[in-house]
Amino acid sequence: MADGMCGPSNPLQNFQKHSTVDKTLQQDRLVSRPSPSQGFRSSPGPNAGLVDPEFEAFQAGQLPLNHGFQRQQFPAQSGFNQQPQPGPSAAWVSDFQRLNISSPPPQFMQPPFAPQHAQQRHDTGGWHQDFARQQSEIGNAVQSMINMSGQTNSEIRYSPLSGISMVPRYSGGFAGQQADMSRAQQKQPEEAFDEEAFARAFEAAAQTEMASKEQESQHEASQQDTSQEQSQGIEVVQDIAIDESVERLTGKRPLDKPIGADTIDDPKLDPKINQQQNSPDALARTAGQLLDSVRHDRSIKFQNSQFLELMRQIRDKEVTVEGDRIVGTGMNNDNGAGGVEADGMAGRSGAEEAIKVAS
Amino acid sequence: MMEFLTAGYNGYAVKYSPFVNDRLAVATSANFGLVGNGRLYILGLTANGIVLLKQFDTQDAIYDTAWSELNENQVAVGCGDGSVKLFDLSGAGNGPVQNWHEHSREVYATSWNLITKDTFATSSWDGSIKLWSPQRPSSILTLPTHSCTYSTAFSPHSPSIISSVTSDSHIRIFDLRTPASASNHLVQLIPIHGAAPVPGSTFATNRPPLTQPSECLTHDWNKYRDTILATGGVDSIIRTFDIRNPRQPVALLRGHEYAVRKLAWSPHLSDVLISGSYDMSVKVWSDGTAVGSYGSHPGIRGPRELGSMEAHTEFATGVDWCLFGAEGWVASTSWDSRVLVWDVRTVMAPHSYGP
Repeated sequence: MADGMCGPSNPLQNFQKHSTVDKTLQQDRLVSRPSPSQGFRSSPGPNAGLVDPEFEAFQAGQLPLNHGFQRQQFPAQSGFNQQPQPGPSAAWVSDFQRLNISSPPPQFMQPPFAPQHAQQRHDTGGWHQDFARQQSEIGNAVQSMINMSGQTNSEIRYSPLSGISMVPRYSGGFAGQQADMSRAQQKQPEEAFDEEAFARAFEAAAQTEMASKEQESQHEASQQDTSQEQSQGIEVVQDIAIDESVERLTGKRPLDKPIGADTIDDPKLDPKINQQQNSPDALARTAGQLLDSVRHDRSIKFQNSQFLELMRQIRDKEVTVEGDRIVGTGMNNDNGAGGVEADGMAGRSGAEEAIKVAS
Repeated sequence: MMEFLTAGYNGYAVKYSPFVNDRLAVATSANFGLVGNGRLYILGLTANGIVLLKQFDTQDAIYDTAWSELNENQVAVGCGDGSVKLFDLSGAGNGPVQNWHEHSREVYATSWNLITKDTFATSSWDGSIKLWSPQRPSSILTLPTHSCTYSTAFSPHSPSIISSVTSDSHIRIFDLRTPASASNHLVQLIPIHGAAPVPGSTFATNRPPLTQPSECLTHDWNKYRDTILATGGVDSIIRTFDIRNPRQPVALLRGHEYAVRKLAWSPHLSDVLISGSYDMSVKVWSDGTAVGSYGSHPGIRGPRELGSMEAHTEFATGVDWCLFGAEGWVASTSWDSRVLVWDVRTVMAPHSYGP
């Protein structure tokens, strides 16, 4: 990675890499990417020859791109949101369209939902298959997410850019660096092209690429917070929340710790749990917890509540659940009402749901 | 206020029929749904009060019900043993005409497709949402959520968009038109525990903290603005979200003292919603986005509570708006075994509505 950053024309080299990034939705496999020293391109692709003369001209400053370049997004991302960019953007957009950077030409002005896959498809041969292996399947849904949130967003902040950051949280590697560039790009609309931030972002990505994903988001968050003039603290913090959610998008749970009903295992899956949790003691304990949680409430309604009275009786072992009925144990406070044969395990779940009263 | 007592059974959900303007379906369970069987009540609203038209008994508790949008006599229920049943009022017997048993745990929500009307969805504690057709003997599709899914709903504006809220404090939006890749039609995963923007502040100076994740128990789509939905859960706060900008809620409605169990947007007014809670009250809210309706008042703007109905003596678990006639009528049910049909304007301050 670091070797790609040397030299005075650093940002332009990075631009070249931007234009070749894989933005397809067919990112179905998660495989660790090849080491960064190999660079972003594994093979030039069919359009390599076509691009070079235009790029040379561009570097020489002869393409009509100078006026718009400082503030614009890169063409690879131009497919994301076009509607909110009026005026000068349209000019460079058509300029890039004329370039042979990707084929088919990016499809602008797409309605958000259905054709979103079409506009992502950069079927440019060899490198595409290589990256298709590297990207996770998450990218698929996440890209759709980006489009949904990005298409109608007319803020200068270019939320699709921050939306892109969702991708690396799961796939890491190349996409992570791409997102770091994107995050750095967020400042572009307001300021001139900031090479330092670019370089900083690259360094950060290189350092933290192998670190845990949590640390990475925190690191970037702190960088972004301190370096941006317009503090976007809420957005960044919210990004972390969204990023962490997306990170586990197809995983088991988006939260570190399951809460509430997720903490209760399915009794059918593990018979041992059934034994323990359906014992009258566990039930009484649960009822006691519930009563404790509403103990502070002195309202008449809660004092007279039949349900809480039942909970009291369960806690005090006056009644208990047997099979599908509630039966009195020693005292004659029998609240049994159900007589139909039923699976008694429902009792546990209902009581747990009741715990949610004042969590 | 009209009242009906579902003696011995505690209410879990109430739904107005989409075909007949005086018919209700009430999902109830014995012993507060902890153990025992369930019963589906079909009630009629008459000039003499609420009468019982029919009832169906089930082996296990019924937690939610949904009227068929195609057949005015059919109604689906979700049960505590994981089964989904379809009942027909015009049939002779008291048994279901269809019984599907694919969920492995309690079915907490049922929702009918409002556009093409040929499918309905159920969600369950087993972490999945299943799509059914009344004619098919098995489910059409299973959408995994990996978390206890308390509520699912079809968007009233699209036949392909299904939303759900789960115990892990997230909203999931599924679009069935997307290809069924490994993401299983999931197009958005929105964390509910964000902070609403404070009006008049800039991000730099005022950063409200993110709230803690808490189980989300209910949600509903706005019937007029197709990207707005509201959620309510254990932290007692009702949040409205715009799915185009899912970073934070549009509005926060505070007022309930305990968890919010059920909520429903009004089919008549784009800014009004009603909620039932574990604090035994049913509250009416405006999210402050409309002018000239219940939400308008010269001095008060913004999201706020419009009124609170305290007649229930146990947790209020089901609410629904009447689709026909006067726009303020609602039905609510509770663990106190009563179904109440009342007009929200009776609990709202007089100046809160209409000129």
